[in-house]
Amino acid sequence: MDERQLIERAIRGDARAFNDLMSAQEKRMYAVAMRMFGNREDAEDCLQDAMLRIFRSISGFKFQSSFSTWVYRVTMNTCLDELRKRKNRPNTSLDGLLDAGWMPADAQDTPEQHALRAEVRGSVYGFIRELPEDMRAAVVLRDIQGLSYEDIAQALDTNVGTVKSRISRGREKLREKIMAKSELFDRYGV
Amino acid sequence: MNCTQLDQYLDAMLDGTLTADELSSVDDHCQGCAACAEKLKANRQMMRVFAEMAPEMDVPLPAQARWREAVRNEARRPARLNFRLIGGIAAALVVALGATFALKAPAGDDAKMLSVRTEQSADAALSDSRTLDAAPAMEFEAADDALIEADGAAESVNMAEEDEAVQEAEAVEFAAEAANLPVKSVGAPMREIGMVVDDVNRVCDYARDLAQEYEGDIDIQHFDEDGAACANLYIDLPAANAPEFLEAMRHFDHSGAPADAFDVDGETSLLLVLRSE
Ligand SMILES: [Zn+2]
Repeated sequence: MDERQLIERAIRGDARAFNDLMSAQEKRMYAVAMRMFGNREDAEDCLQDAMLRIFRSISGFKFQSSFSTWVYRVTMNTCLDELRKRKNRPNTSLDGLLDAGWMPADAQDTPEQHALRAEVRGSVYGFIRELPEDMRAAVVLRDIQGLSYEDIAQALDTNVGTVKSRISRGREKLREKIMAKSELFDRYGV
Repeated sequence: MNCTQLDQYLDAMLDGTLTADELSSVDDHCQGCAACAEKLKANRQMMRVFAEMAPEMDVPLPAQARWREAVRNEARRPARLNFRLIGGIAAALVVALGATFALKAPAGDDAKMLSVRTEQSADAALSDSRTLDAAPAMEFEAADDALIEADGAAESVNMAEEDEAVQEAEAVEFAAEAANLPVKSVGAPMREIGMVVDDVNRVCDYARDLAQEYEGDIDIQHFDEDGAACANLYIDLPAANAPEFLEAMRHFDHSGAPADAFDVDGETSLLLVLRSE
């Protein structure tokens, strides 16, 4: 069954079709949630919430954008809603996320290199999480998920100009944070 | 280039749109400008970090199981109630019954067989249903369950737009099946509506009570078709009560028919053809 047929069945409440449909999306959704929250527990909760939102509202999908862009949109909204809700609550710790979601380590890594990479990862996760949410969302979708500016504008329900400016400012902030820790990043190399 | 242009070149570098000429002009400038050279280095470091961050991540198995189970539970919930569209007694009855329903909902998550037969053209039904299309896809504030349900119902009406072709095909299929059903001849023109329900007997009991509530007469014939429990419900109602009666019955329908498939206009004779899913 192709994507469209699965969507049509899911619109009628067919949970099995929906689960098949979303199996192709869940890894990206989870990666987005991991980048936005920085920890597994929140990312898993967010994944489930986003899945339920999508299931309940899939009849609102109009086949005008790509399904995956629409899925990004719901997923990101779910993340942002949760982040805004907990704005005044302290962030959960960075424990347990440092090795999650990175490309496999180079087999030739020495233990020292491995430790360095882990430290860099931890720093960058922290940097991304320090970005304001809207900026973080745009940077994650562009620089990690690789969406086009147009798709990001759709996913974030804004215009391309705003997206470009958020991404540009987000990158600028990340560069500044990296420069402020140049001792670490210079060891990491270019 | 000069220092103020650097950022846009760095963005282009990250986007992979920097030309070779632009790159060499960036390099040239950075040879003689330490501040820009630092930013360029940080940019390259950032690119490397991004490149190592995977756009897809394996979902831990327990988390996969958890969301799939949550979706199955959601699918088993009773047909969504649209509190905006019903009022008074009908609303109270449907809410009370919805609660009972939830306890007895079947465990299967297979595709629901859908069919609907209406006397309206599909086009008319579709254009009417658009007026209900008020709730945009993503406005599920986690406020309270009832509101979410109401939104869901309004959204579920959208399916008519997406599914026109499929629905028409199924309407034809249902009409073909209906042609073989036992039919009671009546004098007055009769409005005939096919419903797919999860428990024919339960819905018949409810319809009997509801018909009494709305001062109507009801005659029920049970039959089986291909092993599926079915029933013909012949109902005569005062014209003024028919819309509310149908509105209440509509909430048992799992066929996904648009709400206005259940509209009546001055009709008092109804034939509801129930089929278990
Ligand atoms: Zn300069």
